[in-house]
Parts: sequence; structure tokens; C-alpha cells
Amino acid sequence: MIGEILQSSATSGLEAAFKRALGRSLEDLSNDWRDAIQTTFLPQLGDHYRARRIAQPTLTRRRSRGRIFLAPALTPDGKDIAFFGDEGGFFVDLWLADGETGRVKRRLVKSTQNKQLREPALHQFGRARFLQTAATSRSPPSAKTATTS
Amino acid sequence: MILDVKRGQEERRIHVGLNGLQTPQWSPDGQQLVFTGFSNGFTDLYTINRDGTGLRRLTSDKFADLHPAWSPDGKTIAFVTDRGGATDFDLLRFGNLRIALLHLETGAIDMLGNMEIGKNINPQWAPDGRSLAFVSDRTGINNVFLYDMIDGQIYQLTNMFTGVQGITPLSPVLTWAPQADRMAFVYYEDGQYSVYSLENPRSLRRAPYRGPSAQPVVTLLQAEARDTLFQAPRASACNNVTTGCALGPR
Repeated sequence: MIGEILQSSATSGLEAAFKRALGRSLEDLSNDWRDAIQTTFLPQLGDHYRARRIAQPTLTRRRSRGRIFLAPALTPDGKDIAFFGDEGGFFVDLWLADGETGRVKRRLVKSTQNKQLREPALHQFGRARFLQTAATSRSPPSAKTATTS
Repeated sequence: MILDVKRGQEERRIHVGLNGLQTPQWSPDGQQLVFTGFSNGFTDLYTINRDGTGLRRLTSDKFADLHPAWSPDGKTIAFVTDRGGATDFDLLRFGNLRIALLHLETGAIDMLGNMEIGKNINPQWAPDGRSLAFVSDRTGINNVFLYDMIDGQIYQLTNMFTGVQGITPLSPVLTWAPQADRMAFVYYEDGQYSVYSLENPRSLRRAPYRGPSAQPVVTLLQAEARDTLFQAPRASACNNVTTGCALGPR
């Protein structure tokens, strides 16, 4: 059937090709498709919800600078959170924010200033690993963060 | 790299003689780190003292050993592995990712039960060490689950639309602060990766998880294809096309 559509769309155009092969206009086909998708999937979504039903937004575009917030690591007392973020820019750095309000406190590691990451050969590899890893120590008194770079 | 966040300075940079390392996690007393190390393309678990001495290899095998997390009593490491299932290196077949426990004193590894389905990653210990939160896509969507050490049952804590998910399927996305009993997770929403957090996540625990209530999506799609997409329109299409139906797929 795909072959038919391809072949006749070359001679008589897309709309006519679909009409000929399927007996339906493109608009009808789109409506059928939407109906089929909704009939299939909407019943399955009934028990699902968005995160805000059970949890508070902590690091989001609206509350903190940036578009991505990844690999979060809370301190043991939950007061601070380390994470990888882009601050709305191109580079992903390691940041520290308030664990409850999400207010960004400061940048912990700047990826472009990490000596190893400046090596061209290690750059891609280093960045990839850098994206994945953050840990906060459970040991008082000072919060420690370990990263791989 | 170990940063002293309070003083705002780098405490130490540890160089490990491996091809790479990932996902460091502190021991409860803050004196050691456990991490996944890469050696010759294989992942294994290692520990090291915070001063960079005493590198110790915990596993030495061809299986994946990922996302280690130290138990609150310091005796056990929870981690992610593809052992225990369908993995067969001779056939290059790899099973699903499951959660396992490594007992530091004996080196013995226990595979947790109810891990036969889907991807199961990112274990995080409850403050009392009696349960483990982890992320699983066994329903088709990545959500937070709880493994109870006492009854061996799985409990689904969240049932969100778009999923607890980072950029890659194995990105760490879950953290649980033991003193505050506060959990934070990455949530993919509106094309962005946000972080949400909640207190006392175990309050979301309901009846044990017994598999999906709805039919798996794949089955539904196959049924849909059988019923509508190919059979019904195809008959009328054949009547209309002068060249016949030979070009279409059977």
C-alpha cells in the first residue's frame, strides 16, 4: 500500500494518491488517526498525574535559571541540593541550590575551567561523564561534593 | 574531585588508575566513596578512601555494575546489574537491569526479587535502611518504586505521565536525604528536565505492585493495526486502484 501511495503521488499528487489508495482524504485520515490514538491511550492515562500532584517543584525553569536540571543530589539534611544545570546557556556546570526553595546559591564547578575538560581529546568524554555524576556527603559539619571530571 | 562546599574550595583531586569512573556515592560516615569504575570496557564497583588511598575492587566480572548506593549502616551496597536474568555472554544476550545488594563483609551478592521486568535503576536507601527506592519503567513509563526489605514486595510510589527520566536512560535521577526524609527526582515535562521534591516519600506507599492493570501498549497497537489500519481500508483500496494491489505489502 505504501508502494501504491508513493507511485501514484509521483503522478497525481499526494492528496489524490491517498484518496486512491485508502479511499479517504488526508483530512479524514488525520481525524481517524487522532481518534484511534485517543481511543487507545486516553483510558490508560486515567490513573496518571503530573509531578506537582505529589511533589513540589524545586528546580524548574520558572523558579531557577536554566532549562535543564539533572543528576540532583540532596545533602543529608535536605537543605541543599547539588545538580548539573545549563543556566540557560550552552555549558552544563555543577551548581548548588537551596534544597527546599530551589534558589540557586552558586556555581560549584565550571566545566570550561576544569583543566581536564579543556583537553580537546578528553573534552567530549569528560563532559559526558561530568553530566552524569554528583554526590553529596553525609558527613557533618561541612557539605562535601564529589564529582567525576 | 572533592569540593568543600562550605569553605568554597577544592579539597582534593583523586586520580584512579582506571579508564573512567561514574556515580560516586559517600559512605555513611563520609570517609569513603563507592563508584562505578571502567576497566577495559567493563564496569565494576570500587571503593576508595576520601584521601585517595585504599582503592578496593568489589566486583570483577563482565556484568554491568552501576549506580552504587551505600546503606545507612555501612554494611551493604545496593547497585544496578544485568546479572541474574537472561544475560548470556556467549550469545551476546543481555538481560534487563535489576537491583542487587553486595554485602561488604563477605562479598556475596543478593539479587532482589520482583525485578524480572523492565529497567530498574538508581537505588536509594530509605533513612532506616529497611527499604530501597528505585526508578523502573516496568509499566512503560519511568516512575519511582519502593522495594521493602522486610516483605520482599515492590510498591509503586509515583504514577506520573511523562516519567522520572534524565537525558540518557541511565542518568541518575533520584536522591533521598536521610536526615530530612526528603526525596528529589528529575521529571521530564514540557520538553524540559525539572527537579521536584517531596517529604516522607514512603507515605505514597499503597498495596504491593502486581503488574500492569492496563494492557501493554504494544499489544494494543497490534490489535489496532489488525482491526483498522490494514484490513478494512485495504479491501476498498484494491477496488479503486487500476494497477491492482501487487505493489502493497502483504
